[in-house]
Amino acid sequence: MEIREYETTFIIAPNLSEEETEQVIEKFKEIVEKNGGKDLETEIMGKRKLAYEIGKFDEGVYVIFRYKTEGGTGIVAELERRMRNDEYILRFLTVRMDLELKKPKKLEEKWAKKKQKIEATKAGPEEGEEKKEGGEE
Amino acid sequence: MREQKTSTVQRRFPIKKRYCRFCAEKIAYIDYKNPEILSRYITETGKILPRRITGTCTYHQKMLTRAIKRARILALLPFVVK
Repeated sequence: MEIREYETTFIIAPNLSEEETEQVIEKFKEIVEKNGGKDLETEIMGKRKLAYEIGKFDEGVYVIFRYKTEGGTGIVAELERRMRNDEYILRFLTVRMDLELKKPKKLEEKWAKKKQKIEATKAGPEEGEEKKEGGEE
Repeated sequence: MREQKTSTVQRRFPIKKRYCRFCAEKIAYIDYKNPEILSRYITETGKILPRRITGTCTYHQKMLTRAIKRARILALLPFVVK
């Protein structure tokens, strides 16, 4: 099965102590690992002010999970279900990153090729070929 | 009246050529977790700025719109500012 990459960002309530916050993160790490999530990376963005109030809070602790899974494990459904039922999770959002980055990666390759071409023509005779990639409509 | 109208056709300032900042800076993916960049593309009331004002290309405007909408869900950007 194909490998899928996901990124789940969630916000933990700010009124928890550091230990409690750590416990919450640990709990969800376990859920990811139990449900077939691989290469789990955790990034803690820390406490941030929210752009609008959620419930009665105006700030929250942002945490990002990045993980891979082979398709059809139902990991996202399970993780989101658990987050929804958790009173300390204010908000969550899961994005499938492999699909998300498909086009940008292609574009980057295109840019890299263009760069090579320009460098090659710089060394040799100059050609009147310089249209910006995807820049103009 | 008519003469006045024709006189306004001449512009006092030359129009600046707009260009896509993301293409110029070679940013292939616009991340929804970066409100510092995204907030440049919304109005004070929280609306997404149209391409005709910012000059962003189709590819990046689409991605930008998605990123802003996701950032709103995560309370990184406001839905509305009164």
